[in-house]
Amino acid sequence: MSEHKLIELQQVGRVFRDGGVEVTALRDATFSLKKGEFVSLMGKSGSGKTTLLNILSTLDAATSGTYLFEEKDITDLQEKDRLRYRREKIAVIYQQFNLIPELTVKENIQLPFVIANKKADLEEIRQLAQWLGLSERLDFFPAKLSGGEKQRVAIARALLMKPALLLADEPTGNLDSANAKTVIELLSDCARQRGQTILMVTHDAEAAGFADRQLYISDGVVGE
Amino acid sequence: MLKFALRLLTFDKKRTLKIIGLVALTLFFPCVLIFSMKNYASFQIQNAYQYGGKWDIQVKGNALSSEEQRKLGLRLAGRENEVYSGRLQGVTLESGEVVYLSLLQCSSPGQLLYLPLLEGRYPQGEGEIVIPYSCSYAGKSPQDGSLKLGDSITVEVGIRSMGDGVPIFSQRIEEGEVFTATGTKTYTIVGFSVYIPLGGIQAVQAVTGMEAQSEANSFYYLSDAKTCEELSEIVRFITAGPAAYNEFLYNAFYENTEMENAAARNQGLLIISAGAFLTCAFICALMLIRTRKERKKQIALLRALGMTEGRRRVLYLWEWAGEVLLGSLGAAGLFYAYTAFLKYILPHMLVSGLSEMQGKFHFGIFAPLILLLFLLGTAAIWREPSEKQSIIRPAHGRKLRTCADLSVIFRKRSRVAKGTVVFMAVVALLALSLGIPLGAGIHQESKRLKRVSVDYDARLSYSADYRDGFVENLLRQEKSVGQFRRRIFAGGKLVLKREDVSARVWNFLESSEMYQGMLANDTLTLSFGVRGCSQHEYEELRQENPHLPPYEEWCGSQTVLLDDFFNFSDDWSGEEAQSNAYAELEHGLVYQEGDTIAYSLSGADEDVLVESKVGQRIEAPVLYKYPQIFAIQIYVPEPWLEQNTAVHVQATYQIQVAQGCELEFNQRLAEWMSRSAALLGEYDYKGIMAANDGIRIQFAVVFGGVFALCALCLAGMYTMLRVDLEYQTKQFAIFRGLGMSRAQTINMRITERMNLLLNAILIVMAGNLLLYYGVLADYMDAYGITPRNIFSCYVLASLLLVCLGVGDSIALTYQQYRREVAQAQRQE
Repeated sequence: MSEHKLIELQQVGRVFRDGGVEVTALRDATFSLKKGEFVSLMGKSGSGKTTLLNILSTLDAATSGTYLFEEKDITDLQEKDRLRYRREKIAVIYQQFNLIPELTVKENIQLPFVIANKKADLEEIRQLAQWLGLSERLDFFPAKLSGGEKQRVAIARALLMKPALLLADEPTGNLDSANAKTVIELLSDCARQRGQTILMVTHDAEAAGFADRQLYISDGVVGE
Repeated sequence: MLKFALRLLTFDKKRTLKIIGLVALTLFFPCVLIFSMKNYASFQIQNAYQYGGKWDIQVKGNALSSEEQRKLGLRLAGRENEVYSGRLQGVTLESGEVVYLSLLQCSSPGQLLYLPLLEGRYPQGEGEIVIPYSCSYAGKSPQDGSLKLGDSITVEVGIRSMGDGVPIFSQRIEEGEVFTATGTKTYTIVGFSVYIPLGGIQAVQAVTGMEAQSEANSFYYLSDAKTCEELSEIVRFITAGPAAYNEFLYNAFYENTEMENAAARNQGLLIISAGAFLTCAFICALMLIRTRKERKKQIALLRALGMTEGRRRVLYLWEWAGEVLLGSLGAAGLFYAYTAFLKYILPHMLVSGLSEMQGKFHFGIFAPLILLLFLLGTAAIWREPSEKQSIIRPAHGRKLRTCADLSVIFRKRSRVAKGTVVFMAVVALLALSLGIPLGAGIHQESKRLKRVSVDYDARLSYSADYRDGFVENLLRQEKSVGQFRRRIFAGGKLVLKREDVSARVWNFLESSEMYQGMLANDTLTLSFGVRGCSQHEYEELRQENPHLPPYEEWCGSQTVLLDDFFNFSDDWSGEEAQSNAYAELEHGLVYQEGDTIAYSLSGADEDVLVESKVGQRIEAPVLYKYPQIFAIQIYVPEPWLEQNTAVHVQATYQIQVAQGCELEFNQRLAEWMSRSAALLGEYDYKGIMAANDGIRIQFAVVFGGVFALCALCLAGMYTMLRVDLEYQTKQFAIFRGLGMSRAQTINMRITERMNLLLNAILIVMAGNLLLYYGVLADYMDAYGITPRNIFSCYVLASLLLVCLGVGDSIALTYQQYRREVAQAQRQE
């Protein structure tokens, strides 16, 4: 495990304004993730997990504090600059899989390359599919896949771009225990074999146990 | 189950009311369109039928004798044994003392016409009649007040021919024609109309496009100048003859391409009406299917709870039927309001007719009923969304390499029925393609009528100016009365019969040119006397010359009604001038302000074509330049009637020639002429205004209907596209998470829409070509709308549709993108 920090949050906060009322979703979040580290994040519903993931994935911006990515401050980047991070450095896996139903498994996997105007290496897709047990499903539409297969497709889509940071938002929430275990093992392998940093949000203590480190969030405050 | 359905219907009242309102509005438009096209013209034509009383005789089978068949030419045509059916509907036309009955085919949506009244009302019973303001009856005329509303006229019924039994088609009375009287009929005058026709002739022209009024009329001839000697035979002829005449007319009309074109036009309008109704029904069905899709989860839940498919179907069918029924009732209510407006309010807002609208309220129930059945049928065969199987395959669309490929893939594999969108786009474009030329037609008509009005204004002031100038000239004795008359009054060639006037009058007229320029219906009153000396001096002269007649024999007066021997506008000695004038009409030119217009000035020795500008006054010097001119015909195309209207300046005046009072006479004559010319000009103006009103409202109804259809289709199409976009909203979040920029997202959507719309446009262009050359070419041509105009409209409509589609997509995508970002950031 590398000792270099991939990301570092310093007193990051996020305040929403809704009809003149201010709601603090995240309060002074301060933590860091090292390269190749597999970290879990646990917390109750409404504790600020999704807000934190949105900020980490650059879909949202913090209203206070500093977000360093590879020692570079990306807190106040413009949308077009944040896009670059989402295309190259950060990938997200969702509980609902978020696959495009009109695209086949192969097309869903290569979608990030298409969006980034890059040519996907089909051999790499095949190898990835084989590793994830999807070789026979490449020409299937998502509707024909099981929940575990859908999540593996989502993981494949996330891994193809070789992101430095992989964020997983309750990736096992819609899966049975067997499939959940498979997915957790895959994420763990990603961290250990590929050196990717993984932050996994989960309610499952058993799943969190697979991580190198556990973070907790409560009322917008992150702690270890 | 019913209770449950009612709960579904009333649970979200706002939503239910919205659906009911949409169904009502969607249905209301085609109802109005069909009703307008079918009945608006129809009830006016029925008014026309009523002018001469209602003759509505249905005859089936050949009831004519061999002799009658021979007379009608049926035997020669080999149709004597054919069984035919027909309908005679009486329409009267009066020209002078002649009333014609005309036969019309059944009315149809294409039969748009106007029937302006100057005074009085439309006939409501068999014994009532409207006569033209300019006609005269037994020496009496509405113009001089001797014929008033409420007066009765008795006319004779019969057939005109040249002695061969074949009816004369000409409106004009021909020399040598034979009239076979069949009976008499007495009418009460209830109104005075503009121009000669009472509606029937114009109706026929509007329908058939006959160039000349005469070709469609004058099978029956009524005149009080003849006596009835063959009453019984003619009565039988009237009851048996219509079928034969119908056949005769049918052959005459339908061999005429104009009639075929008219039939095609009607067919085109009916197709549009039917298309409108089907489209709207389709939109309603889609709307309701969409509401069921919203219940997808509910359906799944009911299924999980064990409700059978049949019960689920019945449940939603109840809810559906309730919405459609209430929506249909709403449409019927709107429709009643609309028809009531047409019947009770609109007539008061117009100069022209519309007062005799026939009740067609049952239509308001009939159309919604059809829709209800259609939708119930759709509901019965519709499958629940939860059971819908995906039919997309990986082979659909192209290989994914770029974002542009994504657009194609989404278009090919989208779950929203693209066929529906294309269908609506096609219908919308067709409607636009028709609606825009119609709009252009209305615009052109309005402009043209305005110009004509201006022209009339100019001519009225011209008359006034000339009157003053003329009187002044007379006083200075710089111009003679004869010169003035020749230049001002157009008419044509006067045909006098020697035996109709006394030798003295004949010689007088022959030796002078006083008669030139006089018109039919003119009353010529001649006063005779001895010029140049008093009675005392004459007596002294007679004593020296005993062969001279007594003084009293020279004195006296004689009044001649020029109807009896006038044949005006018939004999053009200059064919070139005529052909020039007609050539302009044939090319469907509509004069623009500043256009060069050719006035053909027919002279005794030569015809001269004078060029002038439309809107420019005809200056007196132009007229003086050709001293022999006695006829001026200004041709103004009247496309809505498809006739050439020779704008006559007519006058009824008296000529008095008496010794020692020429100057006074000249002054009076000038006053008479200018006053009557101005008066008639004003009537023409009123006629134009009435026509303007009529044409505008008719076009407004048709154009409004087409426009409504178009708007409806566009709304339906864009709603479908929006549904598609809304369905894809979740994709925005995914794409954004994967790093797709806003520009990329919008580009993707635009490409997708462009492909869809271009496909629709390609299809519609082919459809437009078929529609135009198959049905509408002549219709458009009649309004001076060329193929170039049409294709410009098509291109414009296509661009409009694409711009709307793309603009709407951009706006919605942008909006949804922002919403997605706001959602991610939880900001409102």
